[in-house]
Amino acid sequence: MALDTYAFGIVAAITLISAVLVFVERKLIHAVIALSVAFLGSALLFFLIGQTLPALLQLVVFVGGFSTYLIVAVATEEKRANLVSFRNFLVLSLILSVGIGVFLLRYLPVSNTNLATNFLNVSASSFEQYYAVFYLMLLLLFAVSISSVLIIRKFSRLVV
Amino acid sequence: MIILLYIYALAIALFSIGLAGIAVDRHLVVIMLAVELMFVASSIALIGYFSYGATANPGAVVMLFAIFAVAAVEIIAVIAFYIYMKHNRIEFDVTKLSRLKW
Repeated sequence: MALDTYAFGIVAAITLISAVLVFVERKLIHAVIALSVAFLGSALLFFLIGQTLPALLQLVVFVGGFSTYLIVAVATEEKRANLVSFRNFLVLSLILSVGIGVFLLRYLPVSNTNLATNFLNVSASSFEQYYAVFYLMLLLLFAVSISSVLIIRKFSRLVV
Repeated sequence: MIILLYIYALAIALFSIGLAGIAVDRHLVVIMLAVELMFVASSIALIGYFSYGATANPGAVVMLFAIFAVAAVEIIAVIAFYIYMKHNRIEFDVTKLSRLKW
C-alpha cells in the first residue's frame, strides 16, 4: 500500500475517535475540543486528496473560527448530568453505519479511477453566473448574525 | 492510493456517529455538535465525489460554499439560543424545554 493510504487511515482513525469522544466526554468543553479535532481531521483529509481550498476553508472557518467561538461559549459550563452509555452509543452507531452503508453504496457512483483531480481548477470566467448566489449567501449570513443578537435581546426583555 | 470507497466509508461512519448522538443524547449543545459532525460528513462525501469526477465543475464550488454557509448560520443561531438559555437559567435537556414554547 502507498504512503498516502496509511496517512488516510491515520487521519480517518483520529477523526472517528474524536467524533465518538464528542458524546462520551463528561465536560462540555472537552466535547467541543474533540469536535474541533474532528474538523481538523477532515481538513487534513481534504489536503490528502489534493483539495487545497476546501481544506483551507475548513481550517479557517471551522477550526479557527467556530471552534474558538464554541469553546469560549461553553467554557463556563458544568459537567453534563445525563451522559450517554458508551456501549449503547457505539452499538447504535455501528448498526447505523452498516445500515446506511449497505443502503447508500448500492446507489452511490464509485469511480474506478484512483487519482483525485482538483475540481476547483476552473477558470474565473465560469464563476460569473454564480456571483449573485455568493452575494446572497453572504447577505444571509450577515442577516442571521445580526438577527440572532436581536432575538436574544427580545427574549431577554420578555423574560426579565 | 486513496480510493473513493474509503472516503465514502469515512463519511458514512461520521454521519452515523452524529445520527446516533442525536438519537441518544438529550443535551441541546451536544445535539448541535452532532449536527455539525453530520455536516462535516456530508462535505467529505461531496468533496470526495467531485474530486474523483471527470471534469472541473464550478457548480460544485457553489454547493460547497452553500454547505459551509448553512453550517455557519446554524452555529451562530444555536450559540444565540445557548447564551439566552444560560442567561435565563433554562435547562439544556431538550425533553424539558417547555419555556421556549410561545
